[in-house]
Amino acid sequence: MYLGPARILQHTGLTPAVREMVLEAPQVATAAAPGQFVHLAGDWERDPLLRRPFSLGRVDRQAGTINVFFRVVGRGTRRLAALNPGQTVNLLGPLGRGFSLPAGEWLLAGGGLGIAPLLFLAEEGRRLNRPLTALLGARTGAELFGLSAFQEACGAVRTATDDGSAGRHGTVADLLDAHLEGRDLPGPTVFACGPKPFLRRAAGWSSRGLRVEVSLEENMACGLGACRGCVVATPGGGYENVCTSGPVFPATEVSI
Amino acid sequence: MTNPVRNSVTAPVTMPDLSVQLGSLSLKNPVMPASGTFGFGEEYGPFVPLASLGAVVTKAVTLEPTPGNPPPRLAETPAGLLNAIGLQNPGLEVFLREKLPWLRDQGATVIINLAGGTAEEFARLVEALDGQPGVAALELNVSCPNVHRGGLAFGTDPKVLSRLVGFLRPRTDLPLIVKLSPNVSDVALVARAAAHAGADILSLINTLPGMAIDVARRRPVLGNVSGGLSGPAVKPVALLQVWKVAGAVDVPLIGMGGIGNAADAIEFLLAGAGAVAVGTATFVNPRVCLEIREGIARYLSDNGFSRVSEIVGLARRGY
Ligand SMILES: Cc1cc2nc3c(=O)[nH]c(=O)nc-3n(C[C@H](O)[C@H](O)[C@H](O)COP(=O)(O)OP(=O)(O)OC[C@H]3O[C@@H](n4cnc5c(N)ncnc54)[C@H](O)[C@@H]3O)c2cc1C
Ligand SMILES: Cc1cc2nc3c(=O)[nH]c(=O)nc-3n(C[C@H](O)[C@H](O)[C@H](O)COP(=O)(O)O)c2cc1C
Ligand code: FES
Repeated sequence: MYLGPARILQHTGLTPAVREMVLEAPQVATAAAPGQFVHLAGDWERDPLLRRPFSLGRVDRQAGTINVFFRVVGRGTRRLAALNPGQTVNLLGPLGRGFSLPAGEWLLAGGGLGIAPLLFLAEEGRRLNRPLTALLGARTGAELFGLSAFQEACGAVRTATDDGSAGRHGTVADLLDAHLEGRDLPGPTVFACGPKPFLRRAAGWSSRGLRVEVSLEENMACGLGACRGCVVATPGGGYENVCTSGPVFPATEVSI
Repeated sequence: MTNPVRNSVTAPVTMPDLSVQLGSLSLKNPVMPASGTFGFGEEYGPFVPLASLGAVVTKAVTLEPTPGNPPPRLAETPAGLLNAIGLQNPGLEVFLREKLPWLRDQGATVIINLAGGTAEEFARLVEALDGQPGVAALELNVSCPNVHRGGLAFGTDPKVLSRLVGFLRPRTDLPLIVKLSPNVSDVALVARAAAHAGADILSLINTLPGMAIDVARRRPVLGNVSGGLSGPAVKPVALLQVWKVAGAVDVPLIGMGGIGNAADAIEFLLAGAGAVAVGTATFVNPRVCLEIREGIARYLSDNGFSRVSEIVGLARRGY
């Protein structure tokens, strides 16, 4: 696990809502698996105080780089957005447990920034020759990203937007239901990442015999499993750390 | 590189002695993680040789496994962190079987933080740990604001606290550290009660109760509604409480609350703490305890001190 500085090689506004940062982090690139995340801090003395978690959105093992995709929602992401190539962030990672990489067909379903970890997963799936389908949703067309990469890796890519500005008018949950409805078992393994209501709907498909894996978000402090601050409830009545037992869980193992 | 020949003829550059003695508890250096922020040490093993810390202070151990509070359990505030973990831990039995042996193998000086809902629960914990090899001291958490049962109730009433410490004192030869709550009107009074009842060391502060509301959802952020505030935001409060307690009792103190660098730690030493603990800052920098240790060493040698004890309480001269 790497802890130290990572130089920003590129930093661009990919769409008006989504930023992409390319970081020089060879140790992370070598060790990373799809679904894992990195915990980032800047040189911004206590404001914000804690690190911020971001999914590994893309990894180039040869070049020793990793990409994160993010939306500005508060102080930390605003600080991050103000950094320029040549500057460094402080990085801890890769952290957490990622997606299982099973045999058979994969269905990647992501909403909003939940698309990010699926990009890495799609590229891994292509490397492993898995039949891939991607279902991607966002509020507007301007928030959809990575489409060409998904198109290269996946046999089919469908999109939806809340405002109908791109793809189908609706949500990624609608795409998922439409895609799976009436299909015979065994269906694909479903990998879902995005807002909680969508994850709940995706998780519902596990009761129909599909393997569904969800990638969760919780407020985090340590990112290492030490503070017990990032937990999700489990059907058995206890709690699991999202940072170390997840962020990816089989949908049947968490109460979301 | 310095020239060894020249060094031998000029004044010897001696490394300051970082070891500290807190009553009968000997520590290699005065910097340790704060309870609950370092797990049982395993998670930070990859970053910090645990034997190089003044001590490893464990997450609270309770008699039975404790599931903890419903999420969300964390909320960041300006320069602070609210947590409502609810003492989640696997319980005494698992601790003894799985966690303590590993810690012992690391060569760490182990301080075990204990939380009980009743005096009897505390007593059973203390007795179970007395005589366990590899345990250097016990810290009684009578100040957790995040559990409804017990805890804080012991820490806020001097009479109740005195009775609890007196009840536990004869049950072990290990040094007893009593972790004080900052949520009292006169911390000196509570400190005196604990010291007179037989506490060997006092540690402070635990977190301050607080809350945050999500204006978009119009709901409290924390699943538990209230949480304990830690981090830089509480440092001035913590420092004053250490100052007051140092003036009220003779037992050694472990100071904590918002320490993030060596200068912060030195403030607590100057106020009268014999050692310091670092909590929230570890989340940002897993190696912060080691960096603080180095910073204290540099401060001592830059200012002509040869050991930590020389600066403990030094800011109090004349007060
Ligand atoms: C495992 C994991 C992976 C993540 N991956 C990514 C990623 O690849 N890209 C990305 O952009 N984000 C990702 N996030 C979320 C990201 O960590 C947060 O958006 C970030 O911490 C917000 O920090 P901030 O200081 O800007 O906002 P804060 O000041 O902490 O919060 C500002 C406001 O934004 C809200 N907020 C916080 N997080 C989110 C969120 N995820 N969505 C919407 N509102 C939010 C808060 O409730 C608050 O009201 C991930 C989170 C986790 C746990
Ligand atoms: C996430 C978290 C968990 C904590 N758990 C415990 C605990 O189990 N027992 C205890 O005595 N104190 C606990 N504390 C309090 C800390 O040990 C410390 O007293 C407090 O955080 C102030 O120090 P800091 O500002 O350096 O974090 C916890 C604090 C945090 C942030
Ligand atoms: S963030 Fe500390 S346990 Fe997950």
